[in-house]
Amino acid sequence: MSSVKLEIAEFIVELHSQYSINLEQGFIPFAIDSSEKSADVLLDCHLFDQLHEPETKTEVFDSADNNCRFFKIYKTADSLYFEIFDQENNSQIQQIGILSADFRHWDVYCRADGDGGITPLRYPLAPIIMQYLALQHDAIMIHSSCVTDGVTGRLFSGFSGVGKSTMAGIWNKQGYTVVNDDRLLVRLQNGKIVAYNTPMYYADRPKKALLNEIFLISHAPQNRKQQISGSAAVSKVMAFCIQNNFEPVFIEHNIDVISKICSSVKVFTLGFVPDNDIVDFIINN
Amino acid sequence: MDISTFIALKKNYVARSVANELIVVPLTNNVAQMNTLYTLNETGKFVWENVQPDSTIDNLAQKMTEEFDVNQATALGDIQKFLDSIQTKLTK
Repeated sequence: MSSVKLEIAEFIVELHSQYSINLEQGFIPFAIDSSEKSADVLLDCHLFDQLHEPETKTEVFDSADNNCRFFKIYKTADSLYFEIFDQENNSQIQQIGILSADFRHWDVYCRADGDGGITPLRYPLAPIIMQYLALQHDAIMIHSSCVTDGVTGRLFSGFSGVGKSTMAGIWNKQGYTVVNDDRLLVRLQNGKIVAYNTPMYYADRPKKALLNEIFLISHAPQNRKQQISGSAAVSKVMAFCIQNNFEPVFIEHNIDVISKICSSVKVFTLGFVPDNDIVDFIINN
Repeated sequence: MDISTFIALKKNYVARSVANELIVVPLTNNVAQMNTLYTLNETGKFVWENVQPDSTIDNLAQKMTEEFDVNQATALGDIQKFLDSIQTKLTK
């Protein structure tokens, strides 16, 4: 029996398998040895041939866009059943994940690796696990970048291609730490709002930042920012969250958490020119 | 949009109150509608929260006159204006 414990965004994710568990490089910095911390979510990992298909399942969600199929979700009598597609060969199922009704336990089924071990957390399953963990806590996952100087954390969110990574790169050149430039998990922790990175396809150490400001960014001919609040802020932030809105309780959870975040953090719309001036503009305006 | 159409469409959405407004989010089985959400002002919030399966526009307007300082004609006008304004959004 092999076991692996990961600490991601201060959540403990514990994996068990009778096979050797392989981790992609992005997960390795998140692995911990501690036996003291109890798991927030448990994953029992198996080979495909150990899967017992449920008698009935009903499709409730299809995460696909024009270019790629990511996963499908089905409801069974007592669980959610995830078909996760291989991102390089999109017709092939890469993992099956079965999530218990209390969202605290996954059974994950996948193929054996060449070495006889298994890699159960292959993308995109790990972000899905974090997303459903967030639903059980005061937490959200959001498409965004985040930078910090150790005191002030700033999160930049928006549609694909609006410059989240570009913005993070500009701040990084001026000495700021990039927590992540693509996907953040944001938690309410003892009255503070904290943004965390999560494992990516590349190795990066676990990072976090106290969050003070959220910017909903777009390209513009000149820099301009406007503070927004109330339902306008909540709805705009929610638009960029990673969410599977097939259950009313999921939507209610996200609105409630984002409302709390937006009551503690300043939210701005920001039109920006992607050059170094944006840093001074944000700090001084 | 008439009130019965609104009642039928409303089932496909989840609403949550934030401050004095209501955020309305579609229930969806895919990622396409994730960014399609709306905020409703006071009139919209009132209609959304008070409409019942058997509601008519007249009894909603009557209820509105009991809660706000408006007469029946103004309430009817405000409700119809809301229904017309939200038609495009809910039928996208």
